[in-house]
Amino acid sequence: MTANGGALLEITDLGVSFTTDEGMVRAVDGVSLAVHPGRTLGIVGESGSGKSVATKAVIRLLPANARIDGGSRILLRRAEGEIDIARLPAGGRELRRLRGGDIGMIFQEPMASFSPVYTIGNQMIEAILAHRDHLDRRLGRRFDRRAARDHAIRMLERVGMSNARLRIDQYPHELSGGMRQRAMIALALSTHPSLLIADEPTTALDVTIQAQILDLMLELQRELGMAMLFITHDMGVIARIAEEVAVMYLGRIVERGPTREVIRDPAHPYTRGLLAALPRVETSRRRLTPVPGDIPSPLQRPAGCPFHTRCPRRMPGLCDREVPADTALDARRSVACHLFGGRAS
Amino acid sequence: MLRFLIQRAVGMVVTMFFVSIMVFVIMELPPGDYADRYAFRKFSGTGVSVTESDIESIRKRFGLDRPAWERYLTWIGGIVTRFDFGPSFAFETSANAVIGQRAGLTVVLLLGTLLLTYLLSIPIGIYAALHRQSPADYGLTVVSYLGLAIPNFMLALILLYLGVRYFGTTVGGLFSPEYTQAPWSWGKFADLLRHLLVPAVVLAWSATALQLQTVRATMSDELAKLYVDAARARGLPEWKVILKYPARLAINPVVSTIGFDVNRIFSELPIVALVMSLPELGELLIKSFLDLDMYVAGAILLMLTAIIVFMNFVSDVVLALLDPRIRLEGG
Repeated sequence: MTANGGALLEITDLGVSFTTDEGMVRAVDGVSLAVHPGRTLGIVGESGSGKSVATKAVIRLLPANARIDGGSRILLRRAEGEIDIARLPAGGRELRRLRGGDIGMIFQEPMASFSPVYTIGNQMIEAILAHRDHLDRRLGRRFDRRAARDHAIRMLERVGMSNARLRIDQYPHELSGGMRQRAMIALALSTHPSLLIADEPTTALDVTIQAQILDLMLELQRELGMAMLFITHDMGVIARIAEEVAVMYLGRIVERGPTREVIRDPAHPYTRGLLAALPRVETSRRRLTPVPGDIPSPLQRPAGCPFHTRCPRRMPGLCDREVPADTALDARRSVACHLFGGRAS
Repeated sequence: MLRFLIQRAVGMVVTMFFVSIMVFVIMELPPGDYADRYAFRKFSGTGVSVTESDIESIRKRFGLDRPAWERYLTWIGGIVTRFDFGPSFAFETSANAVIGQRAGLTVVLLLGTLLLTYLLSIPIGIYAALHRQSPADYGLTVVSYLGLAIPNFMLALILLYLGVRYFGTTVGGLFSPEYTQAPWSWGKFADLLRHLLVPAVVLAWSATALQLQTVRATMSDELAKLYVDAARARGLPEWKVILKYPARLAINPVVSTIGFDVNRIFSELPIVALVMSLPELGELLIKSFLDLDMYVAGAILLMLTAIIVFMNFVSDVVLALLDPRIRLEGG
């Protein structure tokens, strides 16, 4: 595995299950990954692949019917020492200090992630004041309400909001979608987190605004030196923002490696399918080639390799029986597929 | 916000103007007028024959001979400028004197009932939404169905019985015997509150059951929204997340139906008042219609509608305070 001592966040063997009326749903099944300081890891996959659940587990923002496996470890390394987030008591003080303090989060729908009945400023100042101690450590200054407001205005200006002094007292519905997402980024970054989790932050936005937001995030990342865990279903977005990528399918990571290499030479049949499904201008094909079939219900996980039901290169008798192990392709790339595992073992 | 307030206040005045015309039309609707009734009452069985001109002179004395629009203007003018609702023919005094205490009681009972309804239904509804499908939640559902199913006169009788049997309160009425004639004091006030508690509970019973389910349903919806998770992701303590964000929106439907609750309380009040022998307006309204004592009837109708219109105004304003989206649309 990634025996990397320098990782900021190191997830080992994460499993998450949901108890539902129809039975047990295994949403995340043995995921391990590492995020390094100042770098971006992209997680890509279709809806239902477990990418959102896996990242929400990092700040323990899972619904009441979800359970994290006893063996899961979510290690966060901080200046004060490392902690295993998976073992923190729910609703405890320690967990609250992480949420929005060391780890910031932005969500897919900028409209819905602000409460409609409070101003942008109210919600930002609240976040800043909730993490006074954290900011004191990081910036060496203690915020009162007035200073928190000034800080919030500066953050809004920093994310490119004109008239921030005015905008801070506006309600979310008075801002456009792009502006709201900028405000959300300003809120999440106002506490200077060392890790930002972005759950499809650009999916609900227009393409031009999407590009602006991505550029802004890259710029802020460089400036603040934070690490990012970036979730999307869009390979194009990943190519733009993430140095490393992990492809998830049905709760498992099927392929990982440096983004450039994975895109240039995808190993796993599913990654190939995802890339082939991207529209390309240069080839100007009339029709897109989607990955055939639908993602199976997590209630009925296929035996063996989770992808074998849709795989164009499945090997009957092997893929539908045995779960493929993670196989290293080189020092930084690995894939979980029998096409490669056969050679390795 | 100021513009919103002015808009709504103007709307309220305009509504009251049309209401007053409607009330006056209703006052005019019954055949005959108090002059006929007065003559009939005074002289029937005495052997004195009453001529048209006699009745006409009575009519003149009461000012009933003037055209309707003129009488409307005098009537509404008196109310607006002097808060004078005109004479009560049957009681031979002013309508104000006849209605006075009863109106006060009605208002106190109304406010008490509303307060009790909201103090019970909002926290319990929120609690039930936070503990959905727990034994407490199912228990509350059963209790609230009971609340909707039991007729309130029945509940009034049960509570009266319990009150007399176990707590030694007097049956019905406003005051215990020792306070009936006593001047106002804290003791008398406390005694009044004790007597109003039972009717307020009876009137609040079904409304609480209904509003509790409304709060529970809205709160459940709000809890599922992304902004709640976003607030948690900011590291707020759970109680603050709940109270500041979803709870504030969960009481919106309750606030917006204050007017309905007032309406319902007014229509249930006469029955409860009858069972508990409380002096209130409904009974007086029927009596004044039978007597053709139209200014009293008009005063009661106007007062009840004014309270409903005013409570709707209150509901609009509170709603705007709770939800800025309403304020900015300008309604």
